[in-house]
Amino acid sequence: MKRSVWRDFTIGIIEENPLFSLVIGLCAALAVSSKVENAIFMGVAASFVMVASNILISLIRKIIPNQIRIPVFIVVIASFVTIVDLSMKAFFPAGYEALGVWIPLIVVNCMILGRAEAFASKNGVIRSIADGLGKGLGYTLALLVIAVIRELGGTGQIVAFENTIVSLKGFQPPQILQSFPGAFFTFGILMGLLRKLQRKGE
Amino acid sequence: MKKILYFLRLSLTLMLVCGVSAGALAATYSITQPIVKEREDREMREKYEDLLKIFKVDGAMLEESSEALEKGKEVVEGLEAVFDVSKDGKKIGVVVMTGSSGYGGPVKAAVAINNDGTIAGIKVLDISGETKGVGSRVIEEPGFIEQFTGKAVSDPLKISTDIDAISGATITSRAIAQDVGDAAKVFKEFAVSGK
Repeated sequence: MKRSVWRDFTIGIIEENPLFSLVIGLCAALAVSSKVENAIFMGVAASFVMVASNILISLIRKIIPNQIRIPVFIVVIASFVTIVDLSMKAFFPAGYEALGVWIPLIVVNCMILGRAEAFASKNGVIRSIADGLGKGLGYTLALLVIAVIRELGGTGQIVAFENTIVSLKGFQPPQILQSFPGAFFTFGILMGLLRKLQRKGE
Repeated sequence: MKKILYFLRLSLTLMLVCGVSAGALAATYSITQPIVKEREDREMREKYEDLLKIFKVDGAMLEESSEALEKGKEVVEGLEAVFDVSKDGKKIGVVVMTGSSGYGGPVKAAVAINNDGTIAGIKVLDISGETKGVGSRVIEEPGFIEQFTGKAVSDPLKISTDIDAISGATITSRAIAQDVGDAAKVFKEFAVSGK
């Protein structure tokens, strides 16, 4: 039985959310999720790389000999990441400065190689695009949720793209949310809640 | 034979993939590089606009010289940066950023030196460690800094020899003179190349 293309897309958002369900690509996610703005940049950058590499790998999957598929995937992914890196440097210098090394490190984000190996190398282009978009959206949403909690909770306000979006008054923000332990707490609690909700649904 | 062909196919495929990738990256780079370069130049100009004003030349450009910095550090400990100043591709002087210890911390200054070895001007960058109202007078009293302007780097540039200190702020005055002397040293040793 074959899944519909729509299902390929939606499954990445909750059931196979890269962060909360598949639990891959955490390192970068925890590092950049201290600010909403960074989470958006990172989410978009990683999604772009994932969709682009999924398309290309799906297109060339039949002509790539099995023995060298991993090096080919890596070259494809690394090329797209470098394109993103160079473009961000030119067009979004603020985001480039803020994300720093985490942009080039998308190359080794197992989320992207994982999609190439598990999905794009076995499926057609349309389904691979749906898969990339769904997983990318799931990743971005998960990053956003963590970042909103960490930035609002840890600094008392959310400032993105030079605008203060929300500002809490009369609230002493616990700074731990901004630090790495705070990232782990937030992530763990969210993951637990999501699992509980999913179990209830079954 | 079949095996050789197979390995050949593997390597050729990989080579092709890498070649296409290199082409795509070169294309992206050639598009983005001018934009990045332009922005970096602009940021550099904004950052050091004040320094360039010392030269009183319109359209002067600063370019950091890491070579002079590296060599200069061997002689001057507090050296922070050396810039070549040019206009229309011709070098007109250098700016040396350096620091020496004052009364309560480092006293940092940027010293602009013309190609002929005269001091074009000085901008004091950091005297945050000096006492307010005492050491800080080195920038509040305009006459002090101006004493250096026009002096040659071959002059002694010493307080009470050819520079008058601000009374009560001798240590800070001396630190500024030290910065200028260090800058002169760097200029004499390394920055004057036939460029």
